[in-house]
Amino acid sequence: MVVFIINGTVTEKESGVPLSRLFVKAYDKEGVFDAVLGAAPTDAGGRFEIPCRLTDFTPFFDKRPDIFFNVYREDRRTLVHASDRALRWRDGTVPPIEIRIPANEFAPPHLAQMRLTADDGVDRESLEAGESLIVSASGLRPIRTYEIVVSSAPKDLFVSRLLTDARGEIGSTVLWPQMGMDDPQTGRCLTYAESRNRWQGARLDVTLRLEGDTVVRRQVPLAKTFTRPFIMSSDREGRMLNGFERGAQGLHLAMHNLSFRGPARVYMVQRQHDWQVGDEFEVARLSGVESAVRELDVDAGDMYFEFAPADALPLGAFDFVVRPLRYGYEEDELLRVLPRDVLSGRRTTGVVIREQFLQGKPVLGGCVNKIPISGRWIDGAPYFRYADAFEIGEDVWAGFDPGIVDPANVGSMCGLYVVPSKTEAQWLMSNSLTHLTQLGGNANVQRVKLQVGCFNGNRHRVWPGVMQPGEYDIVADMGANLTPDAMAFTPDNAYNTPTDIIDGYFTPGFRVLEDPGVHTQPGLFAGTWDYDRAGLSALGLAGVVLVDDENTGYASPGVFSLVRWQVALRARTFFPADMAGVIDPAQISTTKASYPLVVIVHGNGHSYTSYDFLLRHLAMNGFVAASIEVPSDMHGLGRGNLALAHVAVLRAKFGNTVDNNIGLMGHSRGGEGVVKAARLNQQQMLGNNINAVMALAPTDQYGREVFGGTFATPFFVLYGSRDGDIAGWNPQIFTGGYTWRMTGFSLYDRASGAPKSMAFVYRATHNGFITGNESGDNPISVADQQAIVKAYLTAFFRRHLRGEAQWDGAFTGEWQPASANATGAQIYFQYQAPGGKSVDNFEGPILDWQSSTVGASVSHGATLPSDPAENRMFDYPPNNPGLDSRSPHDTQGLKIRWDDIGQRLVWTIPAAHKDVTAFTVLSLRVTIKEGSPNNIANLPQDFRVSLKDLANNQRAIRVSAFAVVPWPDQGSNLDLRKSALTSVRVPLKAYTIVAAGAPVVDLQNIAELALEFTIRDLGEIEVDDIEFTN
Amino acid sequence: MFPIYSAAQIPEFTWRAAEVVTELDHKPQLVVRIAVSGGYFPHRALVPMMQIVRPDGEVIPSWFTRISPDNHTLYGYFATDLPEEGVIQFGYGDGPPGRVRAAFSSKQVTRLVRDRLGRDVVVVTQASLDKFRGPR
Repeated sequence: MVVFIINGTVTEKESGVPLSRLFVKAYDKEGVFDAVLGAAPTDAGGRFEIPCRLTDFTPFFDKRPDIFFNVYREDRRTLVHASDRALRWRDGTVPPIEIRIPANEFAPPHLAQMRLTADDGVDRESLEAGESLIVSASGLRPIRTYEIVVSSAPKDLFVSRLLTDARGEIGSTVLWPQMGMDDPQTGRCLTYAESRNRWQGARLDVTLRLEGDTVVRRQVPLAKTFTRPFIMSSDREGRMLNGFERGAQGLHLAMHNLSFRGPARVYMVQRQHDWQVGDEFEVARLSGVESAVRELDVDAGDMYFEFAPADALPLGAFDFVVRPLRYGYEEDELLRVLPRDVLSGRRTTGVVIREQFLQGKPVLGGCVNKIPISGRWIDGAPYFRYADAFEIGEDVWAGFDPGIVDPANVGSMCGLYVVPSKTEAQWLMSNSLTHLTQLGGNANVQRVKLQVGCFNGNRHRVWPGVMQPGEYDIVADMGANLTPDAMAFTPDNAYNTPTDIIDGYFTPGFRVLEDPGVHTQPGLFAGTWDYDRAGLSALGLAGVVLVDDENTGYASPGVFSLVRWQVALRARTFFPADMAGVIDPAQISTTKASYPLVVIVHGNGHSYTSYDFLLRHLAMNGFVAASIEVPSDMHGLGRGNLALAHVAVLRAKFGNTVDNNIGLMGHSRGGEGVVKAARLNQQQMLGNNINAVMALAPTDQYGREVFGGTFATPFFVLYGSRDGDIAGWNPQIFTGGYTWRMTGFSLYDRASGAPKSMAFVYRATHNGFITGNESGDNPISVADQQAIVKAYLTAFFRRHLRGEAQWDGAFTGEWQPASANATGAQIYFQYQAPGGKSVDNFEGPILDWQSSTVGASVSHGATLPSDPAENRMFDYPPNNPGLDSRSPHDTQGLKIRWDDIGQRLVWTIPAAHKDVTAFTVLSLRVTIKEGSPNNIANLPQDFRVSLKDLANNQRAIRVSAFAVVPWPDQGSNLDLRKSALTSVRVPLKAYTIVAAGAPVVDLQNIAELALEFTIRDLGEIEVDDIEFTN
Repeated sequence: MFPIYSAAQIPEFTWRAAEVVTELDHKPQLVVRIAVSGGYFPHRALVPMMQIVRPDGEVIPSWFTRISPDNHTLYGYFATDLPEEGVIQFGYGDGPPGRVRAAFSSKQVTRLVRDRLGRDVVVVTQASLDKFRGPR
């Protein structure tokens, strides 16, 4: 049997757009051989590879038969295109073929279909006001912008322009949310009675057009009598009002056509982007404490009542669930959607209660509408998730949350651009927008209306099947003038403040790059080599080593008794290979001359065989990766020494095919052990270049190890908030003089001298990253934790062992790898690079909040209700008093409380330090003080960081534009909840880039840095490491 | 590696009980639901169980037992005519049971008002369960 490959691409002839999910068959037309030589599907890039299997290859080339291609749709039966010329031979080889299908063959007009439904997705004879009009279409040309015109004779109501995907389809898209409850031309909202009068018995015409030509036309009859139950947030007159600023008014609900009578319960619940029966819901809190639930007696089909007064309403987006109650039924107590429940909308948001809009802008007083937009559509609740990193082949969506869009823009038309990210200088030079050419350029910008109170109406696929790596921004261009009228709207191809909206500007809105948790190097397989004492002896290597270890845990450095272990070496190794099934390191892939080495050290009670999924993935990414066996109850020093013994074995066995470029990853006790290994390697002058160290849920119980100085190495800590083992207990339950909560936080705090990063994963556990959750405290799934560790571990070693700088943003917290983001886990980062200019790190024996590290004064100008407190962060009285008994940190910091808008804390910058142009970021670590009554429950904290120059130019940047200061994870054990610092990194260009209305700050002459509490009217936080850095 | 508990944190199980209507066999059925909480109840291959052991040693098994979605509560569903007192035991399959230290008392069961129940509600009794199960 001989196999050869015919490869090629399928594209649309006119545009060159690659056509995916087609099926290509290769034929020998002369019938010399089998009629069908082979077949293959096309991928996202329109590529195919057809393996042809022949029993005798020679006559094939002698006869040089004509090979033709038929291209079928995904069903593999419907013929799309038959090639009219044969494959040409060139020097006895088969050159790549390009099949170009004319548009009228791929998308003939008779195949174009358009479907119009309401929320339920069911075809019905008529729809009703209050339902959402949803469109989907197929049989269209790929990557084309189609116009959809909605008319009610004789007028056109509105026009949307939507982009097809690579298959020529428009997925289910909300065209008109809560149809008929507003006038699309004026934006004016109606009462339900007014809507009945206007729309009962009416008919809508919906026309799909391409370049002015009608492709499909459909009619949508509206019911003669509206009978479907309908619930909406309204104003006092009963007009739809599903968004307002907090404090502006109470929340009123209008309910119509209720089909039941008797007792009912109304839940105000956290918004989802879709609802299905069985979905669990989370009830909102009124005034921060009371469950947002109202019981009432339904005695009429139409009801109207005030759900909650203005001062009790929380910020956020909410839906409503109305449940008829049956006496005694336990099912009616369930917090999940039941079949009998009536919802305010499956895909439309019930109500958005937002903060005052101007407070929400990233630059105080500056007109830059920067909000998160890019995201991915996901199966299951919450159905849409913002994302900043996409893998090749994914679809990029834009989602405009009506809760954060400028109210002035809501109801107006906009053009959606995807543009390459620009530098500050490029923006300064030109604010023009160039929509990507692969999306059709500026002529094919999608035009949509920013809908009222509906996320799904504002969700659009902006880049199907991304193919081009890079960094991009998404811009909603509101055109020359705000208008709800699609006919009058023209995009102006420029980003203009204050009206246009952007995801990007200061930092890229999103990037397209490999997903480190999924991507493997093409053509690489994973070979395996397991070794043990006997095997090593046979190779002439020492199979048994003597390893020094501590006798137990201890608090003070060096205070332990030495124990010597005799250890028989055993490990499992995966390495890059050119074919599957390889088991000898001599068969390592020849793709490269040599590969970096990663060694994994497990924790106590773990097994070295549990890490195969990581080892295999590393091998297929071009690493030699080993997991070593450690005897039960070995401590940190022993684990470190044993890791180095294995490094020696691996380097001996792999010889020149493994680089002296080594990464270590340790889990639990192994996590502390690998930190010690980096030190021991230097102290023992072993000559290993250990260039990256990762600690997974590490202990911190062996002598308060300080990872720094001459041992400094890039360091990454990954730790879960529901760790049931290294849980961060108050040290009083242990003996031995510990005065800190012994987790990865403290290990991270003490590290210095090299870039360090720590990811804190809410609801992740100690073992869930590798095997199974040991904690029953509502952890996230093991599959999700494994996806997270796989993505970050691979990116970390690719960053520091292969020098790939594109992963840096994943470790500063700027973005999440796609596979980690897809888990939906809340992941918060700390990051610090050496070489920064510290303004205040709060270290030193003198605990004076009024003096700073940079050597000047700190003052709140008598604005704060009490002076800030500077001290060690963990409060451990009586001998080691500090700021916070729930702090997991082993460092000093500052605690600040404020109780009114406008309070501030100011650091003076001395003249010697006024020039910060060598830096790109203003960084600080912040946490909400867990348990403090001075923060709003479940709400991230927010404030601004301002810089003022010597000429009094000042800008205040909102921290939530660049990071989340999260509400502490609320595990069931109060003592284990943590005030966990998160890094906030504000790009310094936020202080200099064009922002209409805000002055430019001179970064060569900084006079003041201030924390401005201008967003939340109360709060209690702790901060550390305020610095200018990179 | 297992969770570390300090002495003060060894779980203390508690119970509470109330009549509820639940749908089984397409019919609303009035039963007593006993909720045991204070620990963690994983989903296992063995079915969860709960029973009341009367002072005379007779065992009253639940009709069925469920674990709450958050794994923090075990719900045993019993006939409405429960023994006046006894000890609540719980566990999995035929494994060794745990027990709730506080004794069960039928006086502490929150009862529903019969007149307010729907006419189609079936009141589950020990006799009807025995009939359903067959002789014990």
